[in-house]
Amino acid sequence: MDCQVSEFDAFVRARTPALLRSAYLLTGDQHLAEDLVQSALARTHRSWHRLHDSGNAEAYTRKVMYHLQVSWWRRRRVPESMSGVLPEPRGGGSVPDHAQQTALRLTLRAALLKLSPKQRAVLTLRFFEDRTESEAADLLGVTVGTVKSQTAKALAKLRAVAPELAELYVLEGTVR
Amino acid sequence: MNADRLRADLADLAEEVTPVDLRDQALRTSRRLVIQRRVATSAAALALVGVATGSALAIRSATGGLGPVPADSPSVTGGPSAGPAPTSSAPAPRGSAPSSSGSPAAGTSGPSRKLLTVAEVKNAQIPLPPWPGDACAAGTYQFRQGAVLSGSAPDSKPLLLMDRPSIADVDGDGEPEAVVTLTCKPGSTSAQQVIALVRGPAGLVPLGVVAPAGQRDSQVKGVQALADGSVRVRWVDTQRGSAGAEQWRTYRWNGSAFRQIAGPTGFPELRVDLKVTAVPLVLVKDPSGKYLGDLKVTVTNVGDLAVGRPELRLTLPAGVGMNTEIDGVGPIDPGRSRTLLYTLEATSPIGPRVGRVTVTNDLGDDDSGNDEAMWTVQTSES
Repeated sequence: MDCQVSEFDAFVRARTPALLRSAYLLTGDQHLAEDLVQSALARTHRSWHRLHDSGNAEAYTRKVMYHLQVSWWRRRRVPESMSGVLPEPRGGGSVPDHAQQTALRLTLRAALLKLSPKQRAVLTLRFFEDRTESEAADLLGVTVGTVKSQTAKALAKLRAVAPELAELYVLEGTVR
Repeated sequence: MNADRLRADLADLAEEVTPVDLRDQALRTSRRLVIQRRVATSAAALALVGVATGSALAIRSATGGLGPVPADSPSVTGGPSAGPAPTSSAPAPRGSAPSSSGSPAAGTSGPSRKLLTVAEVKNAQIPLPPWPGDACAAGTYQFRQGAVLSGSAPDSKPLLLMDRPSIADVDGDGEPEAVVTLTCKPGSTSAQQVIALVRGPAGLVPLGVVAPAGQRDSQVKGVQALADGSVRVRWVDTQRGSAGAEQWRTYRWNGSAFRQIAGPTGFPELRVDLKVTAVPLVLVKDPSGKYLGDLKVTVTNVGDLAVGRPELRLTLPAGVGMNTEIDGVGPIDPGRSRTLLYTLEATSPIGPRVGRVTVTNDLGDDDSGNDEAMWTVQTSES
């Protein structure tokens, strides 16, 4: 038991930063991201006696995280409660390049918040976690077709709500 | 599209999040999930606290107000670093005993024997080993009337509670030890340890942990240290609340640690397990030209615990739409099922296509292999 506790601790401490980064893209908010990750980790902890043998703890945690995000949104309509306050850029300087990058980041963040949770989820899985369509479908519990259609809709909406991004994410065929 | 640029910008945006340690929060939430699983455990735990606290207050009242309890500071006198290591090891050396009061312990005899009394144990300063799950910090705690309070006020919430000590010679050295059940942070997140205490040069110190503490879904309800040196511990199964089964388990000191020598080792684990099935359907053309049909989905609770809020997720194949609202499934008791009908529609003929239905619940599912069902749908002209 103690061994499993320390293994779980090690897992949490090693993987929380990466989980938080995905959760931040899903929620757009530090506190919501923390809430999402710790809720997923709690469920992982409940199943740890099974997971630590299989070595699938991170995959399980991410799956729970994505499912929770979509189900929370269904129950609470989270987008309406999302903070409109943008966090200070970390380590931001006053160099023009930094300013430009910061502005771009804020635009992207605001645009992501206008997508549905499922659309944010597919973008995060496909373009941040670099998952294949099949892996994304499995994690979200949907078909590959749904991943494809949601991805297309998400990109179209990104371009619609933030035309300045459209220039950067120029269409050049399909992605893998 | 320029996927690499999007990847880079998402990675940049993700760096905004501040890394934090979520380990403690996750464990707290995990414990809350356990509590949700235990249908009425909270009520049972509160009742236990009520009894124990009431007992402590009654003793204080009998000794005149606060009695010997100083009202100047919390009773914790050591932090995590001040405590000794966990103590399932060799017996601590015996030394001169503090003067005892109250009635002598049962099982003591002989002119040189130092008497150990219930009152002495309940007002001792005791170094305690770490608690499972960090429920309470290891350290030296000053007990007053069997309690360590979290603040200086007499009605402060208890941090630690000690059940009535049971006293007998459990390590066979001819001198009595006290076996106590300690409850840390009594209430919704309480944790317990059953510990044998012996006299050391500076007072009572742990001889060893009698029973593995922090066992999931069970609670210690009493201990008996017997004249033959064995310790009987009464456990109750809390998975179903206060009406759970009870077990007596017997432990004995083997010279270096306590080991269980009789009785069952645990309660059968109660599982949460929902199963979903769906029936293939045919959408039949109606007078309006649409193709309609009812998808029949059945959710069965094949686990041992009631599930309060199952959720269904329907994945429809292309060309098929939903013609009804999706309502909540509603609570399902063990062994019971719920069948739901969803009217699906298609506006043009389709060949056999595959859909999916998934059931989830807030408690987590111990068998995910039956949480998803595939079903087929096609249209028919008649």
